[in-house]
Amino acid sequence: MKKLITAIAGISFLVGMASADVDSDQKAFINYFKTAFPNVEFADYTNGVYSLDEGSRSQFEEILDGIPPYEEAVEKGGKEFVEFGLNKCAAFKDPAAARVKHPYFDEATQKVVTLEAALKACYQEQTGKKLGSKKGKIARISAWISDQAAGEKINVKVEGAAAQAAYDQGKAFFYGKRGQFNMACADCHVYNAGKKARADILSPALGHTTHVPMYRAKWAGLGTLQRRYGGCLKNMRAKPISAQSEIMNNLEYFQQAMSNGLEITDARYRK
Amino acid sequence: MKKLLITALSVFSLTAQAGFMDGAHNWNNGSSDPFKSAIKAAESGYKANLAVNMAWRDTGSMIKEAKKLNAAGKTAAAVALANKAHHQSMNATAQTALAESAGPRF
Repeated sequence: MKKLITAIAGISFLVGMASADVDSDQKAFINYFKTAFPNVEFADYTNGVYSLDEGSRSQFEEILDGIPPYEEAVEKGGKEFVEFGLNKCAAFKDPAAARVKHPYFDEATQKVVTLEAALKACYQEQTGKKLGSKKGKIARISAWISDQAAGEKINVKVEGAAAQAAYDQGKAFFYGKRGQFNMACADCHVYNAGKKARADILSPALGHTTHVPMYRAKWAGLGTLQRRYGGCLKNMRAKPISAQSEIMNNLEYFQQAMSNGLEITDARYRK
Repeated sequence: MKKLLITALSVFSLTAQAGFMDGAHNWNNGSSDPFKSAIKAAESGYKANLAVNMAWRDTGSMIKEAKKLNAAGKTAAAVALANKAHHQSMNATAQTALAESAGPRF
């Protein structure tokens, strides 16, 4: 009997280890950054790499003081939101609430639903046409929706075994090494955040999802978070995975959850 | 005499066996075409990597390039490239096992 209890306790412990809950994961995640960058306040991570580097931050603030290069595109996204009847979809009756709600785990489909996935579904429902996943219209509309939620906090919930499994898969993807360079997302954006990779400073993963879709000077335009995932994978010499695929959505689910409590921002300029 | 007989019989039997095989026999696999077997190995490895989202960026284009080289009659270069692609797919397979249970180092 004693042996049986010990075995059950052991198994329970191992299962618990395999799928640690979001709160304890995030606590450890935040603590890591706190130790690495003791002078950076948690709330400041909403500014991404600019929270770590003074020089880059002053350039960023100068850009924001003027007319940010994405302003026109975001305004256009707002017009497109109405033009294509996206405000008629139940998911987007309240755009600010939609931004805060996504990504979430849908029990009916047993899948993670990202903001862009919901937008694509709504767009098809309203226009009968397909919407892309990475740039252009979807990035403009998604940026406008996110602007409506500026100042609100990311609050991703992981409830139930299936949601936990999706979260765990996203987490394993984030920490798993891949590609010819044998690197994980975490290698750059956790363990080496703040350090230079060639001329660029590696951004911290904490706060990565507060300003998406982002405007990148390199792109000279807006792009979704999953567009960036594709670019990162390519840089690691891994084959990029389709945006809005299940695994990419699970990665986004994990990453958004790690930024829970940080403010969503409309300052979406990145180098 | 006995020793001589055994040696002679051994030599005869090995010679007879060797006589059934053609000179170009490939000892490494079941295919007589070195490119065919190399590209088959690369393609099946790459396909398995793709199925688990762990493929490397350049493996697919290496396979395509190897096929072009082979079609152009540059067999040695084609085999070398196909083997390189296969090697990439094997490394990606090794990564897969570790990536499935990856977690933070803190």
